[in-house]
Amino acid sequence: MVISPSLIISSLNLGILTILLGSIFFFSKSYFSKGNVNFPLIKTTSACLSVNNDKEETIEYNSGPFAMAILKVLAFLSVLSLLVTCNNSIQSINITLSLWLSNTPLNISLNFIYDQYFLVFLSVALIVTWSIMEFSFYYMTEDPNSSAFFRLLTIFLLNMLILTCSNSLFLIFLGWEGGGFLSFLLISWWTTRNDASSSALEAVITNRIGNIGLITFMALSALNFNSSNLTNILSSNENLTPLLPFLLFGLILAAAGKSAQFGLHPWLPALLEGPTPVSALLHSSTMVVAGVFLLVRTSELFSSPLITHSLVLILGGTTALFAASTAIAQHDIKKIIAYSTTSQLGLMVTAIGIGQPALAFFHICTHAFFKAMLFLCSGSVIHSLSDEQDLRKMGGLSKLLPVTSSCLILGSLALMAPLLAGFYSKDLILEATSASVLNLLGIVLSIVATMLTAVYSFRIIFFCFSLSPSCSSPFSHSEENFNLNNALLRLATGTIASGWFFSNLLFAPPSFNVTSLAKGTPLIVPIIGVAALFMSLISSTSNSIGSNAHSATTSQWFFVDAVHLSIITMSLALSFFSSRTLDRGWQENIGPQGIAPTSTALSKISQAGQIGLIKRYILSSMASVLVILALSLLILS
Amino acid sequence: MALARCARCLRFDRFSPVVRVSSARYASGDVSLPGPYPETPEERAAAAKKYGMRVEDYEPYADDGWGWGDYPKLKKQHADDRDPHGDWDFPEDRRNWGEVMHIEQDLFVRQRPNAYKQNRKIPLWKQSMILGGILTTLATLGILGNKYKYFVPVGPKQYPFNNLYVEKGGDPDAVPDTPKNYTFPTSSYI
Amino acid sequence: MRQIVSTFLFVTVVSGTIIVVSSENWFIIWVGLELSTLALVPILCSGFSPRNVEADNKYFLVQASSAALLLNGALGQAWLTGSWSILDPVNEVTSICLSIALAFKIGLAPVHFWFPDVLQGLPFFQGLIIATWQKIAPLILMFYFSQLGFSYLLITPSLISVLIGGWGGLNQTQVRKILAFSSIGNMGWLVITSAYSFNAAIIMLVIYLIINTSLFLLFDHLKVSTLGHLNTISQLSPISVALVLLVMLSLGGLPPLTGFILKFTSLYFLVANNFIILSSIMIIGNLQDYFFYLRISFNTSLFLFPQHIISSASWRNSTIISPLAPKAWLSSVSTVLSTLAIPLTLPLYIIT
Repeated sequence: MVISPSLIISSLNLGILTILLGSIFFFSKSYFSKGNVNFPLIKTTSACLSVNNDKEETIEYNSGPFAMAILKVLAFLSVLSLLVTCNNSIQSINITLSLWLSNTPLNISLNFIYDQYFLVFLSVALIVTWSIMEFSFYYMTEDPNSSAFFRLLTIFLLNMLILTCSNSLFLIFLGWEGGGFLSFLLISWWTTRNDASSSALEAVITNRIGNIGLITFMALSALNFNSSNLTNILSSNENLTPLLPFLLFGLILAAAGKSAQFGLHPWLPALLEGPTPVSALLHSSTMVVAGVFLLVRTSELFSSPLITHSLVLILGGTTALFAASTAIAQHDIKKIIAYSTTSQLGLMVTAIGIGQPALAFFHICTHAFFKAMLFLCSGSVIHSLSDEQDLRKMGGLSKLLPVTSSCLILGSLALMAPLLAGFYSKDLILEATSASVLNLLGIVLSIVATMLTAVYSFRIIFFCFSLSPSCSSPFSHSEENFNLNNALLRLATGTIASGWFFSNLLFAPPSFNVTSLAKGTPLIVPIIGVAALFMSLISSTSNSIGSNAHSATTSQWFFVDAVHLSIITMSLALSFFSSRTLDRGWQENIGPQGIAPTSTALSKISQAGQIGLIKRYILSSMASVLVILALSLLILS
Repeated sequence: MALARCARCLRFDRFSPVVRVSSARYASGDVSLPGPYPETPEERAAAAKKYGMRVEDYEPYADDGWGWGDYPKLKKQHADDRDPHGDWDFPEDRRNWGEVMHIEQDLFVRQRPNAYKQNRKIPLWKQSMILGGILTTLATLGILGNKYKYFVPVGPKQYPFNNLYVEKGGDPDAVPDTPKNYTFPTSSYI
Repeated sequence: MRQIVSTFLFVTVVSGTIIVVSSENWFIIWVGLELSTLALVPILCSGFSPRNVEADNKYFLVQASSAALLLNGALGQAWLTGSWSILDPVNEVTSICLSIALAFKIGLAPVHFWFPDVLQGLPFFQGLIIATWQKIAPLILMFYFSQLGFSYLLITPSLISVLIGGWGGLNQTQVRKILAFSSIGNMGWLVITSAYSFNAAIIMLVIYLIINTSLFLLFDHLKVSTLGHLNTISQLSPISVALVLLVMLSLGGLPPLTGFILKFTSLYFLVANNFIILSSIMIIGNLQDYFFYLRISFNTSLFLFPQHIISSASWRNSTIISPLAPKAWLSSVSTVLSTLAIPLTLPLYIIT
């Protein structure tokens, strides 16, 4: 009997999706002894359903352990399917499950595509989510609603996988929307806080702008190609010169909204109001790369007009430079990591811009490991310092939190040091940029951003570990928790090994012919950056703190101040007259205030006819019939 | 601490019973708002009392046909600009009970971005100049970079005969013929 | 009333309608209409309270005068064309006579006054016969009639009755009167649609009859006659809360429920025939209908009026309905059909 590898892969992946879907609905039952007061779950009272007094045991229903176990199994299964692909050269498997609406001109079907992009992303996402789920079981123990939190994370992962594996644009839109919606729910997890809910609103509104782009793309491709099938759209031979700019505009807008490119970026740092596991899962490793992933999937469309390439390149480069320059002046440890994420997203978009989608995808995969790990480390630090996020108040952590601090150093180094994950992909992107002839600005921006990356990474390391401890509060938690340590160490393994594994065994990275100077740049530039950092740390005075340049970097180039103000002022000026004359004027008078009295009066008039006398009924009936007759004769004749 | 208590006592207007009562009347919706535009000083005083304000603080909108009536013209102040540690009745909204709202109050709640930021460290025009300067520079560089391209042509090392076909890992059974001349790989972006 | 008499009367009512629907002769039609009217009169006054007798009288007078008008029109038709057939082209005068007579029978707008009064004076079960069964024969005639030629005399009263149905019901507190006005409005919808498509009108008639039947049966079971007492349904029969709510919304035309097809079919044909501006008037009328449907739904399920605790508790065991009683069976089947039957109506829609 011959089992074809494609059969194995498709059944494994369909199974993974199905199990993930099913696992949303299950709890796990755990027994806790009442005598063990140290166990934190006793205090949380998430769902204590029955208490057995004789045995002093509490039965608890929590979806956390079950979700962890499921994700573990699924991660192993996905690695298995990845290994099967390694050995057999399989291009892509296309599965059409059913036709949803088959009678319409536009066939909408449940169409999955299992190619290398999806398979690699699947294992990365599952491993990262497994670790983050474990971490959040540690982090969210005191939350009374933690069971729902784990479930939301699982639903989010399901949406993300649907987005990455689907071939039909409608399914992609489903995953896209689902991701945005769950990010809204998860950011506003502590929903009673004003800041959390307003930043959730900001995120969801920016995502709407991105959705306009995706809907534009969907509508135009339905109009133009008569298909919602991505492979059909990409391989179509139709002459689409008049519509192509709009299609590409839609795609770039969608990607910029989802992946927080410059102009639509302010929501990403605002997301830090959510719990740290959310930042780790959604806003560093999976959801924010959805925009880049969409560009990777549709990169064939970008091939014809070179100007789009240039635009994407400059957009990515600007984002990278902006985020990196902003990150160097922040004091909130999570904010630094968030801006670093934005900067790396800019680098991925740069890679798309130079026409190397595979490299962008490679960077997505390696970035997921170390950025998730950095967020988890910052979560652990924050938790241990009893919710202290200010970088300046940390110090000497290496003695107090050895595992966390070594992981933090590893994650910071991952972008700079050779042989770590981030370096593999970043080096390739820089090389490809310098080998391209598209635009000089692309290489300049990405090299400067790389330099600044080194600066802020070393700043974290310096402030966290070099000085003596300066935190005032006693340590509330130690890091002796298996869930925390396992998660961190697993991601650390990924940080060390994933770059080597992917570049040697999975991807066939393209080779570029560059000068030795360009080849050496990714190594030299961080060293310059670190030197500059230490120089500035030694020589910086309070004068330089007050300078315009410093203010520009701390306040994010004044983007939010200036642009939001101008948008608001403009829309207010436009809407003042309408609100004053319509909303509080005519519309109100005619609409709500006008309809009610009118219909009341008419109702009273018609009620006055119902007097209860049958003679008058028949008389008035006849009279009104005669009136109608006369009127119709008059009008018609 | 003692200083703070003194300061609190000095803010007597918030705690005077007259103001409290009139604020309550305003807040409970007994009166129809806004009333007609106050012409005489007595009417102004009555309107100020209706809104729970002092006469010298009360300033209605100009009677220019927009129909604001006697509604007081208040300072445009976003909730973010109010004292975050102040002794507010509703600390999450930074408002006091019975306080007169601005007529466009929904622009100034905390969920809205603060468009009327006061006390900027750097004035707004300077901020816009800096942002515009950076963006203009980037755009100019981008246009220039698109026009004058920089590219150092580098080719792979090539070897005579069949370019070390077998040594580079090719299939020894299918050695291609010797190429007639050296070829360069075509880049797709030239 | 003796059982055998009432059975006999029922059979006569049914056979009168069947005679009307199946015949092609104006004279036989008149006979059938008169038969069912005359047989219904004793049924309606079976309660024999003064209010009941008054309503019965009104019903009899209106039906008699409209039947006279119909016979008049039919005679004129026979005199002019020499045939009793309903398929012959109608004269202007006879068409006016006939359509006014039919409008009287179903209660279209300018001649609708009797309908709320009669319905208010009758118990729900007798009201059910008037509001559903007695509408079938005149409506089928009306549908045939509107096939003969486009008649402004049918379109105008229908439009007016959609609006009058909305306005009339707005200010009512009696459930039966509200149902009467909603019936007036729905008659307008049916007649207007019949001007464009016979099949669609038939489908709408069937769906409307089912929904109306289930409503009348529910209220008959609950014996709630004013809006103020709707609140007690939650104590009387908790499951009826959901049923009344759903059937009411279905009558209003909320999409997943069966009543949506009623409005959808109608508007589909009207818009397809460029009846756009006038159909927006109909939608406005239906919106007012919807307002008082929602008022009933709210009073049933969402409000809790202040009331004495004993009075609310005393309702609890007052009615016990056996699940095997024919009325319970009928009301449950019709309720299910009137809320969930949208998959069944889709094939009907394709047939049209």
